Amino acid sequence: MSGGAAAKPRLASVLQFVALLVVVCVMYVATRAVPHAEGAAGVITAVGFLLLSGMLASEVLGLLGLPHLTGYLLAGAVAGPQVLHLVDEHAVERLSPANTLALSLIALAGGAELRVDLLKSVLRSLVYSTVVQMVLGVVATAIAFLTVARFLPFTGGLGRTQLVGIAILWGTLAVCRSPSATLGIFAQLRPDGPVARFALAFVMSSDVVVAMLLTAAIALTRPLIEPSAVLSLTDFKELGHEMLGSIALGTTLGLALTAYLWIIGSQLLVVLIAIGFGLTEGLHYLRFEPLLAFMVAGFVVANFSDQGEKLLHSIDRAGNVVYVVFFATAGAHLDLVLVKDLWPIALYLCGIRIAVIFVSHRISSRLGGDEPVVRRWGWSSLVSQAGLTIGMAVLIERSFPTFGAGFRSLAIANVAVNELIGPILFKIVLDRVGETGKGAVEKSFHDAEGVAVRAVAKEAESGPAPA
Amino acid sequence: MSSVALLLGLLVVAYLGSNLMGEGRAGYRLPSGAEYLLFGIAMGPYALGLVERSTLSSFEPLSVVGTAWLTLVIGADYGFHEDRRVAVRGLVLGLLLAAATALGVLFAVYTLLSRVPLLPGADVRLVAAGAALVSCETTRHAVRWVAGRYGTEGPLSRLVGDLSDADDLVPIIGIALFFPALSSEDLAIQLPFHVWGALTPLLGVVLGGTAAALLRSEPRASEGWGVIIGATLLATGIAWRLGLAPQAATFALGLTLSVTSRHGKELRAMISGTEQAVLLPTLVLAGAEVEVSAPMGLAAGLAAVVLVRILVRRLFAPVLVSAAGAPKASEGALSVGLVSTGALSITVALAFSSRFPGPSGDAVLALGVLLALAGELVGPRSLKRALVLAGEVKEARSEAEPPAEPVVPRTEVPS
Repeated sequence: MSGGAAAKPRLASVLQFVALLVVVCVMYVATRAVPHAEGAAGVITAVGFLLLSGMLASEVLGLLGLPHLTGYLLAGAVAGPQVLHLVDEHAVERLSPANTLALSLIALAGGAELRVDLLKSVLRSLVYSTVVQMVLGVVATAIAFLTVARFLPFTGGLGRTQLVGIAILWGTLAVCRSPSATLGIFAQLRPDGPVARFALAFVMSSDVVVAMLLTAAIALTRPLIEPSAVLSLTDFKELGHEMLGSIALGTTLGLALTAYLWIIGSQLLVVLIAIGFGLTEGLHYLRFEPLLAFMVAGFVVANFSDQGEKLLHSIDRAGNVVYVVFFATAGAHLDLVLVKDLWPIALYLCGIRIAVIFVSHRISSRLGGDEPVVRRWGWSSLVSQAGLTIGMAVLIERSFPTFGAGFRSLAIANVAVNELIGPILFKIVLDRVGETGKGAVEKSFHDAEGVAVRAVAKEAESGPAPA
Repeated sequence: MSSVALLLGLLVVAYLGSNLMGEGRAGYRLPSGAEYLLFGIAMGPYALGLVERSTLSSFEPLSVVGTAWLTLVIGADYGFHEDRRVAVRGLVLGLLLAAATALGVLFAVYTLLSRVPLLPGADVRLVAAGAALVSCETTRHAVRWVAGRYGTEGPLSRLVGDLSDADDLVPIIGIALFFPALSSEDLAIQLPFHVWGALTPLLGVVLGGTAAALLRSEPRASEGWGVIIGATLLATGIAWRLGLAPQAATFALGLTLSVTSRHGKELRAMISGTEQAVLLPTLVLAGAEVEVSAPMGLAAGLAAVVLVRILVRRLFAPVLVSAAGAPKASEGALSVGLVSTGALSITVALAFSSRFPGPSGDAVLALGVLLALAGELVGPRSLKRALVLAGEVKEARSEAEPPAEPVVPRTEVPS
């Protein structure tokens, strides 16, 4: 479905609403006829349903001005195991390969969107934002966590030092953003302008910084949380190995992709699927970070060749399908029961996080000398959280099994809130500052310009046209 | 071999297949894709053993989705031969030929296996029905291969092309009716099997109509890949879940989309463009999944099927030749020329082996694969000969004197 911002005729909207009802009814009858389908049939049905209902819900909610991503998430959440139970837990779990593919495409696209000239233009702002957001973000949200720590079920019986350690970990999670949500909004709205450029550069680069920060936080807080533990630098050594290896492999992949695009250039979709599945497995096996490697690959293609647009176009085509399944699955994954139980604390922590993001951004923007529009609205892109944050929470759970499960649950409840609020906020701001659709307009202008230039050049080569 | 390695292997096959062996490159591939079946057999447990049975079973969903997608392609293209509509005469003759073949094979295989127990452990009715459905089509790939390679042109070529497209409906209706007959006991809603059989295409029609309505507002059909993929997967999953035939549901979906969408022509081209990339890995999987537990029974079944196919085609050949106004001399070659089976037969055979695992399903799959291989040996060659005899091969016409007269060359034109 096209993601154009143009107003759709009323008939199309009615058709979409009726189609959504038809699809839900068909699925409802099928799930009631065979209530327990734990095999592959259930998974295939789930993918088809999440894809169709996600797209339809996004179009219907689009009438209210909500981003497509919210439609995908809501479709998944409503169809998921905790509301209508049209998609069961088993199917949601077995959809993880689709997430692998989606994340690799998101990382590739993220890297390809990061241009050197873009980074140069926002470098000063980027440095100040990163430092202020990270420092103030970690400290302030950690303090906020400490204020409610005694109400949390998993912190009972822990001493003050241990709580401080857990609070630092919470603070680290709080500064994590969502590249997938940002790119999801970009894919729909095609924005361009100071706020969009700042969001893209900051969110994509912060990924790497947060990964390093989390490793440091786990190493530093371990002696605080586990009295018998000592500070070890092994984690940093492993992190260095992981980062360098991922960058090296990502560069190689980027060069290989460039060569492929340049020499062959066709069937890119099959190549992307093969890379998404196969290489991710290989990178996991080598203990490298797939997201970083794919991001570097995208960066190399976009900045060291003229094949970036071709790559982005192909990812965009595949992404139209893969992103919907990815976010709808994320919606189905949302633990709404947990959110119901922890909502006051989750809401409090989310509120504090947003306030800290806002204040940190105002400070860093002033220091970095950002344009007024970025100074005022740049923070709106930093609220979303999604799979990356949950992945980090799982890592913390594995590192600290004593309290990790409860910690992860609270993190998921927070991600659920941020995942729903963040994209809406960002879309409203992009619409408000008039950056929505500017990327597409500019691109089509350049395309048209290119065609015109080629036509003139061809005419010049062939001489004047016969009378 | 791990699942990921097998998946990557299949993707490579899809890539190579769609790049190097597309429709435009008929000279570099065999007519019915038999080389991919052989490659699968070579990789599978019976030859090199590179792919274990456990790995293959984890690929069952891929096989179901692949076959469902292939029938979507066939459904979307149904009623069309390349860019033109299939003539009513070709449609009727194709349906009659396929139905007669199915009934003949059903009777022959059932009679043979119920009298001589050559397939121990197999359900004779199931194997006979499966054999009937995998053997009733004439693959359009072989017909198009001959047409593309030798530049055939004329009424017999058109008629053969039309009937090879039209006969696809018979096995589809067969699996739509047959699958629910053996499955409704797990369902919360109890309905007679013929009602479930009717619900199979209805599911495709509802989802196809929904998809067509959604694509209505799109400026280009290519914007609607998500809708098409979503509707296809939903139809496949629901049909599979209910014990129906996913392939029949997606056939109906493709047909509905093609007929009711305002982007019908564009959709047909779009969906057809994916066929090679899906077909070739599916053929490899089918080859790898072949299991021959009773070679004698299989050989006897294959012989019966081939004989019935040739016999039925021999009976139809005078009608076809007369309808096309071709010389009677081409009847013999034509009856052998129409024995090729291919994509749809393998699709139906895979659907059977997935729906009825065990000796019966294995026998139907093995029969389907062997039939395609056997058809590859004689079908295209004989079809070419029939068309040469009918004076519809360009090279033959250009060599003959005088060109204006009807020509019946006595020897085959060297390719």
